[in-house]
Amino acid sequence: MKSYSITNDINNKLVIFLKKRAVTVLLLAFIVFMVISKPSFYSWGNITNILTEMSVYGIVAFAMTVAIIGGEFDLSASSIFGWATVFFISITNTLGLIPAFFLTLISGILMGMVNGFLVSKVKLNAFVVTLATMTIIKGLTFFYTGGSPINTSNETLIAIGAFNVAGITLTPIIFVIALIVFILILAKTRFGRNIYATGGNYHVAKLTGINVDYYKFIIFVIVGFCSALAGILLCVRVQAGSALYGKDLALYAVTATVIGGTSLSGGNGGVAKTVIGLLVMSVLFNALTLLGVEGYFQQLIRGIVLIAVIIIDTVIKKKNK
Amino acid sequence: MKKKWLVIMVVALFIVSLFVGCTENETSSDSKEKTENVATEEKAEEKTDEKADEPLRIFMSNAYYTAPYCAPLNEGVNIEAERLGYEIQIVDGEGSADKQLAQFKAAVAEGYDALIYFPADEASTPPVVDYLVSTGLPWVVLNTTVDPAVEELVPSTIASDFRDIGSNIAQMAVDYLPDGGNVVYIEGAAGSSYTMQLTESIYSTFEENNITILNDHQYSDWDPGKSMVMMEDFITKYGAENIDLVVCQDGGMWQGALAALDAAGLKGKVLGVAAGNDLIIKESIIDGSLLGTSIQDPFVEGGLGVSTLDKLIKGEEAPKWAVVPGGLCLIDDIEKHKWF
Repeated sequence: MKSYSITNDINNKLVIFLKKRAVTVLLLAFIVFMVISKPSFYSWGNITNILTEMSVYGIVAFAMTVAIIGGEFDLSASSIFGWATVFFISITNTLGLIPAFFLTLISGILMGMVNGFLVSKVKLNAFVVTLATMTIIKGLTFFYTGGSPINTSNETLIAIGAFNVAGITLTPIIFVIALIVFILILAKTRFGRNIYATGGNYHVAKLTGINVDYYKFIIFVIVGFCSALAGILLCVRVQAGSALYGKDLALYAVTATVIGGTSLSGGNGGVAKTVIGLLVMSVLFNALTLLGVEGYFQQLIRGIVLIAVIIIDTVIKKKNK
Repeated sequence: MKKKWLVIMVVALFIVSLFVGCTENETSSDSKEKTENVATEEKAEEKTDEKADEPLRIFMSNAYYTAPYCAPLNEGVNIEAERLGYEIQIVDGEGSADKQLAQFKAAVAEGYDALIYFPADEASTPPVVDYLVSTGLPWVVLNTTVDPAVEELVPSTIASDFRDIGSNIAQMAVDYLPDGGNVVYIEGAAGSSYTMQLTESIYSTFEENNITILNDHQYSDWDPGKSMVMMEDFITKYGAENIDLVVCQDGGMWQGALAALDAAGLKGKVLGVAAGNDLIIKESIIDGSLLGTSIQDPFVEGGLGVSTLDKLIKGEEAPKWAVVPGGLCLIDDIEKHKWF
């Protein structure tokens, strides 16, 4: 009788886990498939390759997760990212690396503040505002560079780009630090809880005394900051900047967030979930190359798999409700 | 009941994954079973023999995989690779050096034997070139030249001379407007090496020959729709009587510009010059709305990329820069070229 109860308890826990973590289970199943079919998939070099590949955009995905939790959305992340790459490289070439680092971050924060002001104070729709600022910043970047990509031969930057510990470069290290910081902020601070409250129900949050406009404002500052930081990290990797870099970034960040399980309606989710979304996209990108799939089919398969993952997750969650 | 089904589904998914994985890797798992009791040296020999029987594999990352120009280019690569007995995989670099670097690392981990790099732009090439050099594999650069800082490290570049294409286009305009005149000029994409180098040549030739470009830099992003809107705006802004010629960087742009000219009743009255081997260019040269084109055959370019890489794989000498054959094409030369 007791052993039946334990088995039943384990079964229940397993079912609850499967229901809550369907995407994770699917990802693990796919990883198992890849490990068996392509031994090169679990080589250390390839694992670090996947981590590095997801890290740059991943940092923006974390910020986008915070924005979505707070009930907002920022399309201008792509343009801020592209701006950051050209601004960072150009300042590196003139004033040096350290001023470039700080000035680029400040420029990202300022752009975020403009978005935040227009959404939280002027009460404009975030989608429209960030669509407009996306175009403005893109135009500014083209104007700043005359349309040309620029690069640098700054030796310190090249050395930072080449730095690695057991094959792990700086970018994944910053990614992990960002992950920990975001988890702590969202889960352990009043600031984090208030972002959930603001996104969950704006009016109720306002009635309970939360300064919702401040949180709406700060969300865009966070996205601006993280987009600029990610732009700098890309420069560390490729030592070049262009207005065209990161054109798919906003879409990528939103997709990773949604696949991870953060609801677009706001008020729930988390960056740890976004890591799963990022892994799904990066592992798929890497796996399709390893499996020898041609470019056109890669796009097709990636689209189908992403839809399938979201459908399965949604169906299971609905049944759970 | 629902719980049971859910567990069954997940377990089934795992089993299917494992089964597919095993069948994909049939050879290696079979040999694993068979050689359990065989010495390690013999295993290594078997693997070497298997590898020797398999065709060599080439991996190509194309930064502009989905661009219209790259469809015949990829086809040229595939056909030449097949002819020379190679297996080839071409992937989309999505215009990002970062992604291309990740793709090359994955390909090297997977054991590809040779690599083709079609860069997004010159500026971001150094880290990718450094990595490709570090692999020790034979590799070539296709279509777009790399940053001058790492040019020496590239075994062979297969590309058109973009400045030459620009000169050809400009020369056709100069021949048509010997006493100078006004042109409108539609460019490809900001930041693209092709666009920048063509523009450089065109601007310098026009300056020397008293030809004025009416508009500032206008980028169509290779999109005929955008090009059409631009041309409509030019007609409105400058007036048809003030536009002597339309200069476009490729056939797609010309298609858009031609549609706008046609809608304004100016087809055949305001003529154009362009670059490329698109069918619309051929038709326009035949009907007299286009003076001519500067040839850039993507199919030949793709094939030349693989044949040059083949030389490097075999340890033969390959040219540092294999220039893709080009040149002017006027109405009398139409049948000499392939059109896509």
